Parts: sequence; structure tokens; C-alpha cells
Amino acid sequence: MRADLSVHGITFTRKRRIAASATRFEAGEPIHSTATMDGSGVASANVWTLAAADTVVLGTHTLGGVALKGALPYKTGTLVAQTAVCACPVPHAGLIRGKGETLASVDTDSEILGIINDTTLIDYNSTGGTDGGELYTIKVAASADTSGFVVIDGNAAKGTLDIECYATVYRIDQDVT
Amino acid sequence: MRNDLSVHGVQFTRNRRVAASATRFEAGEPLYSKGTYTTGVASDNTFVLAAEDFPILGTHLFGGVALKGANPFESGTLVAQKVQCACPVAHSGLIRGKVETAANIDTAAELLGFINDTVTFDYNATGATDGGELYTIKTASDTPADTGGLAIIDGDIYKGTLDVEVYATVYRMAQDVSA
Repeated sequence: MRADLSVHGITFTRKRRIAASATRFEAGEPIHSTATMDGSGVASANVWTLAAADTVVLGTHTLGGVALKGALPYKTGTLVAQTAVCACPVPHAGLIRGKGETLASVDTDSEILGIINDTTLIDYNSTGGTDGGELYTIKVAASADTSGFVVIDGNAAKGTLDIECYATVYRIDQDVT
Repeated sequence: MRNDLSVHGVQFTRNRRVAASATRFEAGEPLYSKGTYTTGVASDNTFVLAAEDFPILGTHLFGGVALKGANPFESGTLVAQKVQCACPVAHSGLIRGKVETAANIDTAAELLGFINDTVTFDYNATGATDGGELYTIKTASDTPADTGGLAIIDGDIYKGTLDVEVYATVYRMAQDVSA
């Protein structure tokens, strides 16, 4: 949903290519890729899409950033091929802020303290937004070492979490050894 | 000791959580964590004053250089608190500190010989002039190891200081996971 996520601190922007007929996205929603490398350095996809899974899993997803404006054409209609300007936090420096997936799990300072340094993901709920569309929040329960974000801090009164991203979230197939 | 280390260039700040009764720290001293992950859950949610040579990739999570001293000031048992730390952006910002052994870099040729080497901070529990902790920067002649989290960028042979940058993975706990 619009404004689910925002980027703070040291940030850069990238124009991400979006294919025609892609899923509609709004400002504040995360853009990612599930492309892979073919062994010769060729990416299996050159465009980005609205995240339709809990993201970013290292080795599976590549973070494109948080969209800074909604898709074209506005409001309704099939998307045209376009570039979406996305805000991207500098790894281990900038922050992404979003609501905790389960507010009751981050409504005290001691609860937030208990998840600091945990890895986390952006949670995807396909129909959780108040407008009936996608809702993106920050997972409050870690599930795997391969999650691409780490919890830095939060606001118990607002139910928000600040997370930073690992450097490898920006690399396709980043688990090459 | 106060002002042992300073951060220069591109940097950010983080409010790091410090537990009650932790070891006292001063502005200019480094904080770290030694937690590990179990299915993404960190074993340690707080940071402490570094008490060994660090950062070693895969072992230490770098918290930054404290921008102020611990509460309560001067003396007394620490209360649980957040401390603002200066953190250089990986491979961009710099940390400046005295070299552990000044005689190792007191000529330009010696300094040149250390550039691009990986190193760590040296921890000396009682080496400071106030009798407390002293943090300096090792040269490769002190601790050669590829797993050091710092790279020597430059230095000042007259002042005996080194400028180091941090690898990106110093900010990741248990960063040697395969993925």
C-alpha cells in the first residue's frame, strides 16, 4: 500500500526498468527481482517487479529499492513499460522504516530490544492493505540467517521498525562462492 | 581511552543498546557485539566496549565509535542506555587512530608497505595514560590475518596515525554464513 515503507539516512536512487503489463505498484512499496545468473554472468531478467513474496532472501531476491512514485498510467489501466525511481538505503548505513508485522510484538521497548540484531524480511500480504491491495510490513520474528535485513531499532509507540540491509541484497545470485 | 579513535568522511550514526552493569566506555572507544545467529535470531541484542583485538570477520559485529561517555558519568555502575556511535560507511569512511607500534610507520616507505593490509584494532586493557583501556591500530607486522575487518588506507608518519576503512561485513553478525 502507498507509503508502507520509507527510506532514511544515507540513500541513493536507482531507475529500475519495469516491463509492460507488470503488477501495479505505489510509492512506498518495495521493488525486487528474482533473476538468476546463468553461470556466464548473464541475468535471467533485466526488469524489476513489485515484490510478491516475503523479501529479501539472500540468494533468491535482489532488492530494487522502495518506489518513490506510483506506476504509470496512474490509478488504473495496464502498466506501460517504464522506469521507476526507487530509494535504496546504502548497505549497513541507510535504513528502511515500516510497521511491524505484529504490532503487539513491538509495543514495548523490551520487546524491541529482544529483536535487535535479528535478521528479518519485508512481509508481503497480498490483500492486507486498507485499500484491499498489498500490505508491506517488517517481520518481527526471525526465520533464517539468510534474511537480507537486520533490525536496528524501533518505535514502540508507533509500532515501527528500522532495518538496515546487507550489502549483498543488491547482488543477483549473491551466494556465489 | 577517551579520543583513541575518530571517524572521518562518509559516516552515519547508530544508537546502540548497552546493558546495565556493562563495562564503562568513553567517547572515542569502540563498541562491538559477539552474537551469533540461530535461524536468524541474534544471541545478543546489546553492544559492549571491545575487550580484545577486533574486528575479526565472522566473530565480531562492529558497533561503531562511541560519541559520548557512558551514563552515569565518571563513575558508578552503568544504567541500561543507548549510546550514539559514529560508523564509517563501509569502504568509504575512515577510522583514524594511533598505530600500535609507532616505530613501524615512522618512514614513508614503512607506511607504504602496510597500505591495503588487513588489520584489527589493538586492545590494551591498561595501556592508557589514565590506566584504562587503550585502543590503537595494528600493522600487519603485528597480526597478519586475512580475516581482519579493517584495511589500511593511509597514515601520518609524523603523528603515528593510521587511517583504516572497514569491510562491509563488519556490520553483519556471524557474517560468514554461506548465503
